[in-house]
Amino acid sequence: MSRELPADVLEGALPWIERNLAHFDPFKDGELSGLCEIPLAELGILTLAAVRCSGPVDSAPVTRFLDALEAAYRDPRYEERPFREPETLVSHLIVAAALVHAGRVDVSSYQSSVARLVQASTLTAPALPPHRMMELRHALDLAGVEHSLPSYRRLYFSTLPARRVNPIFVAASEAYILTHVIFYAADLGCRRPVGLAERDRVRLGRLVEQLLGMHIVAGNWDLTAELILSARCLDHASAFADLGWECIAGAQRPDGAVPGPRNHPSGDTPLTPEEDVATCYHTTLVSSLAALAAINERVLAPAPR
Amino acid sequence: MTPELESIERAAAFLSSCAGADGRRSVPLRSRLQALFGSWVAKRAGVPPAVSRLDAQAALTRDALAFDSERGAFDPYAHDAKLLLLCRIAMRDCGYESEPLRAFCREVVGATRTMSVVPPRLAGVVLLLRRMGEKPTRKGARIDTEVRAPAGSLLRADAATVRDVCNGVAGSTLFGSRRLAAGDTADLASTLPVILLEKLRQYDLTLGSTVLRTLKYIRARAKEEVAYATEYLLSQQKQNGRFGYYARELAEGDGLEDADLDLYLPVTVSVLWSLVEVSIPSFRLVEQRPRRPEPGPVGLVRTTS
Repeated sequence: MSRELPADVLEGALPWIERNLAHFDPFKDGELSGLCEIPLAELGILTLAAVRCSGPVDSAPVTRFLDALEAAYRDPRYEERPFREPETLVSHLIVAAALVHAGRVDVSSYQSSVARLVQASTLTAPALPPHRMMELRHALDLAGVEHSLPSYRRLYFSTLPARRVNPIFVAASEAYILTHVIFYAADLGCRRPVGLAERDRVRLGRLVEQLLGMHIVAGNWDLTAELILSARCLDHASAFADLGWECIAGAQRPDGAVPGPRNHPSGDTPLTPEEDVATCYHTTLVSSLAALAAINERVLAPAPR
Repeated sequence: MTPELESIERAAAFLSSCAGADGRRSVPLRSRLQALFGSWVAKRAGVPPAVSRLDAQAALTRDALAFDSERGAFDPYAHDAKLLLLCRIAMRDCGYESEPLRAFCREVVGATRTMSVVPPRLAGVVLLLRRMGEKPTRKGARIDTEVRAPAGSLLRADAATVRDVCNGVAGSTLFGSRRLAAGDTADLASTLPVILLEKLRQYDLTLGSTVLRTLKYIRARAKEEVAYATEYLLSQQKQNGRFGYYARELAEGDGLEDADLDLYLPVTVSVLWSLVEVSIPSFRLVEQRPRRPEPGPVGLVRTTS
């Protein structure tokens, strides 16, 4: 697969994200509530991937991302939230992991506090959907927090992609479940997928390929990017990845944004600047994430037993 | 009986009930032709004649053709030429001859015999005429059966282009009875399987089932996608045998006079035909060998009364 197009997309996307960092601020609407930390956590995932990438990445925007993550992390209102509302923990763990990998913070005391929280709370009770449990385990592992969650293999067995899946019936929300299960198993492409037998890897590679082709046909660049990254995580040599990159690069605007599926006005009124950012940020971010994986001269870590 | 054959039988019963075999009034010629063709395919797949009522449909279609022709209302060029020719074969299988269709064949043969190179858009018609025992080309004339794919990937082509490509393949392969050069089909074999999945996901059952047949005609290795598509199509059949759930489109008002005839009939014919093609590997719509020339004296066959 060519690395030129992913590198080009990345070169435009990172500065766009940098110019729109305000969108990722969990305090932008006032006090923390609901799902307000999710964009910041997604920025954390991107930052973590940039920090771990061995390929050439512009350090200026990444430094600004880390500054934004650190500013939130050091805010006491942000720090205390998962202890009062444990269901927000995953987002916080990702931010902490990105900062740890960048050498910005020491989280040893934080790790033990979170480990106690995980043990005492209902977080690990079988209340979460299986892929969410896998997400929690991945986030805890990234942040180096001790836990007693089941193995990736056991968690994987309960997820949607562990079963035969007819791609015609797969809704977009289910495609995201598939891609995320793969991301967690493969640590976003930094290791061979954990918990997946070889036959699972091959079967999921085929399914990812089918869905990638389908979403190129549908013109959904958000899932196209997610599926290109999924193929990479599975070490699946995709016949559609280059075409997918051509489409993403073709859709990328001169300002660097890659418009998402909802980036169009519902009537005659054009999108407000806020709406424009809200409907571009995820696709721009996941395209960057896929690009980082594409340019990464990685040596895959073996799957831990 | 396999689920596919059971489904084909129910679909044939739907065709029979909605288009003509029960004496229903005001069935347009187009619908009669579609129903006749679908019933003929079903009968050739082994559906009992009592279900398909093919003989009655052939007689009604012959009469409708004669009636329209007598009052100058039959314009063969307003119909798909291959459908007309196939319907003529279907009628002849039942022992009927249609003078308007015989005249149409003569007219087409007269035109194609003037050509030194038959263009791809007419290749299917000429090959079909040959199978009917006609001599549609003069000595030394060449039939161009190359299937021209659009520039760029077919994955990014619009529905009309995909339909044109599929029609081209159907014509050039004479519905799968002739092989195309492997080089002509390599790109199609890699892209059509995911186009099949996505068209069905988009609920375009007609184009989806057309692509499904095309995969058989190019002998693509797409067993998994064909199985998914078959499974999906079987799940979209109502108890009365018709395919498709289109209440949404009908409520939005597409201006259809008769939902059964204008919508469900053509969709059901297309799906039925595809299910026959994929569930009976040896099925060939058109026989390999040319048919014997049509009988000379009109009295040997049943003509319009």
